[in-house]
Amino acid sequence: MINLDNEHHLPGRFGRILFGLLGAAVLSFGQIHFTEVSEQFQVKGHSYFGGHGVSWVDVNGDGRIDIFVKNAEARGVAAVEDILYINYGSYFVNEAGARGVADAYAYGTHGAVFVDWDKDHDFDLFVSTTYAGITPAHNHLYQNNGNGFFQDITSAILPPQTVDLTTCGVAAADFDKDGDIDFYFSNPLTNPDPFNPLLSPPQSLSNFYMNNGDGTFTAEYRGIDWTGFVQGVTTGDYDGDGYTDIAQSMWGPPSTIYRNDGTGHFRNVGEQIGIPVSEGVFDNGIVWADFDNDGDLDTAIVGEGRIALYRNTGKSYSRYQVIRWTRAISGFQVCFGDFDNDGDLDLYLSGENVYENDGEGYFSLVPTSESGLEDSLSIEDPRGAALADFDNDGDLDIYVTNKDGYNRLFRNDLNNLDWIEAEIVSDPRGHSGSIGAKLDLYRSGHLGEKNSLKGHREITGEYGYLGQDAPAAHFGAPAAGGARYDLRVTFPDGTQKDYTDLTPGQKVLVASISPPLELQGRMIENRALFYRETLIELSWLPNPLNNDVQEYRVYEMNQGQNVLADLPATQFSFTIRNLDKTKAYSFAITTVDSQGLESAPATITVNGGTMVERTGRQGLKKSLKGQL
Amino acid sequence: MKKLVVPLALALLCAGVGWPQQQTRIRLLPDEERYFTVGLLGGFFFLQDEIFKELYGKGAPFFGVEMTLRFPIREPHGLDIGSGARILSKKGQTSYTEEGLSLRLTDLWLSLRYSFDTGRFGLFLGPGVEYVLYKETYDPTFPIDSSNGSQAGMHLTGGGYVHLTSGLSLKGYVKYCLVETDKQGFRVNLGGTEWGVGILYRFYL
Repeated sequence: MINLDNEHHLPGRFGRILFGLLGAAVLSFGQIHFTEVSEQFQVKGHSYFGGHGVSWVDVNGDGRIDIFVKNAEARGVAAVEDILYINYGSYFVNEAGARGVADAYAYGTHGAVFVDWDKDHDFDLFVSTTYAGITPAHNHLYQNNGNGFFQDITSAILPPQTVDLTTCGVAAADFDKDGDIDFYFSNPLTNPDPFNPLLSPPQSLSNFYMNNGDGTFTAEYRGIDWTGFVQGVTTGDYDGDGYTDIAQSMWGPPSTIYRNDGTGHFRNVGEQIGIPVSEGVFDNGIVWADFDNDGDLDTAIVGEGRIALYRNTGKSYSRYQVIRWTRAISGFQVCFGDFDNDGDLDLYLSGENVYENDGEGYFSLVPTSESGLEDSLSIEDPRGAALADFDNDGDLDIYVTNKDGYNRLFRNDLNNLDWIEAEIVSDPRGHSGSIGAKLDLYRSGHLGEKNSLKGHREITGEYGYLGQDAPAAHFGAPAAGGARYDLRVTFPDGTQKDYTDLTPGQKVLVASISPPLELQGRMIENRALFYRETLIELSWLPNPLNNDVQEYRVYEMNQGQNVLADLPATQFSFTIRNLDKTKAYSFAITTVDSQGLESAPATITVNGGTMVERTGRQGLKKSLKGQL
Repeated sequence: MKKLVVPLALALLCAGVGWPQQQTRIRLLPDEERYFTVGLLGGFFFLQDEIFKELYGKGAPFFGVEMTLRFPIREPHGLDIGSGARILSKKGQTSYTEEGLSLRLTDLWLSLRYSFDTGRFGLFLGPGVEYVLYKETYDPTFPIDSSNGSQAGMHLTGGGYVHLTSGLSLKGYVKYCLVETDKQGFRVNLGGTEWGVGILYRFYL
C-alpha cells in the first residue's frame, strides 16, 4: 500500500517538478523576460523627477556596478542634483552628495560620461551643465580618488569657461591617438534655439577639450561645426581605420557622422556615406553597434517616432529597416544588447519594448506578454537608458530614466550560462574601461576568421541619448554542445590580446600589461687583478600603468629570442656576465601578469662604446648569486 | 722608493771608501773569512699596481727564506751572492660584483751585492733578478676559477746586518722590484717595495 501511495503521488510531484524545470528551461533557452525592480532596489530617482540620462559604472571598485543618473529640468527645483546610486548588492543608496558628484547646478545635467582619463584605474566623471537662463552653466570634471569619492578639479585643469554652455551629449575618447583621453561636448554656446528646424549657419566653436598629457586640457575646434541643436553623441570606429569617429543626433540639421582624419580632426561625412540628410527632423539618439555580427559598426538613429537602422556595407551605410511604434513618444534612447544570450544584439527602446534580432540584423517586436516590459510602456517621459549586468547573473539589465516620473530598473530574468563578458581592467595606455577598444568573439580555434565571428563590440562612453553602458563587453555565447570561444581584444593603440578556449558563463578581466619603463643597459668592467670580466647591467623602472605584475622576463635577442631569467616583480635590475666587450648585445624585458600575459617588450642594445668602469655597489654580490 | 735606495747606496759607498784601514776594530766575525748564511725573512710588500690596491689594499705581508754566500775582497769590503724565495697571499674583492678573490705571489730571486762588514755591523747593496709565480683564485660565482702564470723581473736591494754572535745575525732590508706582465691582455705591475727583516745563521767555509 505504501508503495502504491508513493506511486500514486509520484506523478503529481514529478509533474510539478517537471513543470518547474520546463519553465526554467524555457527561460534558460533564451526567452527574453524582464521584471521591474526599481522599488526593490531603491533606484527610482528623485521624487521631483527630471531623469534624463544614465551611466552604469563601478565608481568605488567593489565589483558591483553603480548607477549615475543625470537629472535636469525637474519641476519646481532650481538646482537639480544628479544621483549616484551605490550598489550594495541587495539595494542601492544615493550617495551623490557625500561623494561629491551631485553637480547641483541650475537646470541640471544632460550629458555625462565616466572615463578613466587620468589612468589611475578608476572612473572619473565629465559632466555637462545645460544653460537655461541662470549663470554659470559650465562643464565640470570630477576626479575619482580611487574609492568612489570625487573632487571637482574643473578649474585646475580645464581652460577657463567664459560663456555659458548648452551642452547635451558628450563624448570621451583618445581622438588624436596620443595615448590620453580627450573630451568632446555638444552645443558650446549659450542660447541656441533648439527648436529651430533649419540648418543654422555653421559656427566653428571650441568644442573639444584636448588632453595635453600633463593633466591639463586645451579647448580646441577640431572640425565639428555647430549647425543646430545636438542631442545625443557617440563614438566608434565606423570605418575600421583605427581612429575614433563621432556621431551625433540633432534637432533640425540631419544627424550625422564625423570621420576622424587620423589626427583628431573631423569632417562631416554623413551625406557621403549614406546617413540621412533630411532637415527638420528631431532625432534624439544615435548608436553604433554590430547588429549583423559581421565585424563592423552598424548604426541606429532614433527620434520622430521611429528607429532607422543602417547596415554598414564597408564604405557606406544603407538603411534597411525602420521600426515604428504606436505609443506617443518621440523615442530617445535605443540600446543594443544580447538580452537572450543567443549570440546577436537585441534592441530596447526606452519607454517601449524589446525587439529581438533574427541573427541577420532584422528586429521584431517581442510582445510585452513575453518580455514582461508592460511597465516600460507606462513610463511617462522616457529618456536615456543603459545596460549592465548589475546583479552579476550573466544577463543584461536595463535602467531607464524618466523626466516626468520615476525611473525604472528592469532586471533580466534569463539566468543562464550562455554568456561571456569581458571587462578591460587596464589597457596599454593605463586606462580602465578602455573606450575605443574592440572586442571580437570567435568560435574556438578560429580566432580572426571572419566567418567564425560570434560578436563584435566596441567600448564607448555615452551613446544614444545620454546613456552609458557598464564598461564591459557582454556577449551571448551559447554553451550548447560544449561550445568554446576565443576572444580577441584590440586596444585603442592597436595592440591585441587573445584569450582562447573560453567556456561560456565567465567574466574575463582583460588586463593589458605594459612593458617596464626607462630600460637602460651599461657595459661594465668587473676587475680582478688577472681577469677583466665584461658584464652588462640592465635596469628599469616599474610601469605605473600596471597593477598586476607577477614577474619580469629578460630575453637575450642576439641569436633568436632566448629567455635569460624570470625575475620577481620587486627586482628592477639584472646583470649578464662574462661577455665580449667588443660585441653589441640586444636584450628585451617584458612584464608578466598573474594570468601569464606578457607585455610588449622594452628593448635595448648595448655595445662596448658604452663601457663604464664602476666600483662595487653595496649588496650587488648578494643579488648576483641567484643570477647567471 | 727610489728616493730611499739611491741615498742609501751612496752612503754605503762613501762609508766603504772612507773607512780607515788601520783602525782598531772590534769584530765578532773572523777576518777574511768566506761564509755562507741561511735565514728566515718576513715583512711587508707594497705592490705598485693600482688595481691591486683597489682590490686588495695597499700591500701584503710575506715570509721567505734566503741563502747568502759572502766573498771577502778586502775587509771590510766583500761581495755577496744571495738567493731566496718569498711567498705572499692576500684576499680581496672584485671591483664591481665584490666577489671574493685570493692572490698568491711566489717570488724566487737571485742577487749580487756589494757588502761592507765591520765584523759587528754590515751594510749591503746590489741588484738582482726575480721570477714571480702568481695565482689568483675566485669565488664560485665568478665566471672562471683561477688565473695563474709567471713573470721575470729585476730588483735592487739594500740593507744592513747586526751580528749578534759569530754565527747569528739580524738583517733589515728594503727591496725595490720591477716586474710587469701583460700575458692576460692587459698590464699588471707585480713590482713594488719590499720591507723586511730576517734572522741569519752563518757557516764559515
